[in-house]
Amino acid sequence: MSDIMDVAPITDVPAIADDQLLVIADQAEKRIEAVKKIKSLVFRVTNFHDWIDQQGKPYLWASGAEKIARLFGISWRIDEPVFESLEGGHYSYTYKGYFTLGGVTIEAVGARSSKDGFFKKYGKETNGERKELPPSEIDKTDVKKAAYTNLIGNGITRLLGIRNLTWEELKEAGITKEKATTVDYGSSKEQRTGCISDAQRKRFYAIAKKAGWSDDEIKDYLKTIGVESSKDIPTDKYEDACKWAETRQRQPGEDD
Amino acid sequence: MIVERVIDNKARGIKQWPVRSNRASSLGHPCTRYLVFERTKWNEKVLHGPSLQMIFDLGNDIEDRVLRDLHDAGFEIFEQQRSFEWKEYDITGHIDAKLQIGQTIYPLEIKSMSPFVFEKINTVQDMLNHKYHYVRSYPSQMTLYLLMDNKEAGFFILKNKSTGAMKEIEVNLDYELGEKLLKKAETINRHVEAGTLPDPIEWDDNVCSECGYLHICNPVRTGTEVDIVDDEELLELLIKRESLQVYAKEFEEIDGILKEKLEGRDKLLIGDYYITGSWRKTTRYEVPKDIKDQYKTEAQYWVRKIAKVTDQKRIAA
Repeated sequence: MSDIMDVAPITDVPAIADDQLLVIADQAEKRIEAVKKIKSLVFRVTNFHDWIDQQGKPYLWASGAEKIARLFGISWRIDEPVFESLEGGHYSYTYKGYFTLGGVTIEAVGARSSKDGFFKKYGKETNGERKELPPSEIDKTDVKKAAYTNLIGNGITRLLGIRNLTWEELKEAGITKEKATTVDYGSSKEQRTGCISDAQRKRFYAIAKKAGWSDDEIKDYLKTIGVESSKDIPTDKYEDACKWAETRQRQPGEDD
Repeated sequence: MIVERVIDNKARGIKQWPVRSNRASSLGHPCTRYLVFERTKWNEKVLHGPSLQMIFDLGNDIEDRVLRDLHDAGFEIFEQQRSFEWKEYDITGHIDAKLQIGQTIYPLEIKSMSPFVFEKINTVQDMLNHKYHYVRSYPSQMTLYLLMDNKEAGFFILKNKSTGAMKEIEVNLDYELGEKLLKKAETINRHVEAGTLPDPIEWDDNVCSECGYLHICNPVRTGTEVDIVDDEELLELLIKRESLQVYAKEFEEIDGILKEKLEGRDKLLIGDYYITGSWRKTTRYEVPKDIKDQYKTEAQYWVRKIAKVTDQKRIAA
């Protein structure tokens, strides 16, 4: 064995020439200026309705993404979404899209899961305590649409180099976190609050019919809780309604 | 707190019902793919929000108001919300009402609209050329009612939601449009039966961005890219133009009033202003259309629109 080690020849790395450095610096400066300009346009074209607060960071809402896409003339194409079943009956949707501007195309992904607190639905226990409803009660369309919106927001902000905006930056444009959080959540929130879902309504009706309640009896019961139709049963009265539906006493003369 | 409760209540009332037929009110929609989704994927549609629901509710209230006004003015109103069905084409619909004028009974559709839209619509052609696709759909809806009810003409009553002003637009049966709509219904029915979808339309911000099926349609968006120009001189001119715009409008208004008030009056002294005027003769050539057409040539000119980036409605894709 030889004591002499093989040493790989060192290749001289040429130093960056001064004029190249200037070009790089110039390009970097131009890039910073361009991002500044883009940010300024993004702030001017959007308002507080177009942003929501997500874990302390501003998140571009669909309306804002649309405004920005229109102003800059962004193009995109989107693949079919991928549906994935998760544990506990949960699921997720993932979209992949390709966004183009100025001859540059980037790839972006948008995903949402039914596990997200945003989609959770609640009923009430018999003791009046709030109870989370199972994932089957979450509207798949809401999750899918949110994944799509997430993709558009991600794609546009990535393409324009404005992914990590802060509330401080937006504040300068008059868009504050306080105002933004008051945004109307659209149909998702609307469906989370208030009346039972169609699936719950069907379940209630199926239980009642199985127990032998007649349509007229069901109608009479609904009146006692202040509604005319099962579609209008408030979420907080759903469990009570199901209990009522289950517990029909056998009437005199009825078969077992 | 009060309004929030009303909004919540509105939101609870928003439901999606199964769509089993081609609705006359929708067949004028510019995207056939949307119309097929309406029949086959209605349960995947993203529902509209309470704000839009409030507009719909207001429209219904206004419709009742207009019908009462027509009735109070002595018109006979018939068959309110009468349903129509054309089984051969799977088309259904319901007309707001029918109205008798003389011995003739006309289908009647009431449309309430913003002052801006109201001012712009005076003919069926204005509807067909309108930038909002739902306004472009109005004549299609009426055409289908006319065909299904075997009538030659119907009326739109337009109502300005701000001033309460009304205007009527008579619609004569357009067989060509009717034929197009029936062909469209046949195309939709074929796709529904075969479980297929037509191709998406070319991306249209006014149609696609608001579409409840956007997340399952996945249309390709082709935007016209913006050119960010650094030109101080142009920017200065644009700023100056904007600052003068308000005066230009006021000048035109005042000049118009003066023109009217001073017509035919010569040699006036008003304060420091000395005003003269005279009639001028001009020669006009009333050329018959067929002769005029012989000398027709086509030229092009550039139409420019200047909008602020904050004025989203005026920024096109």
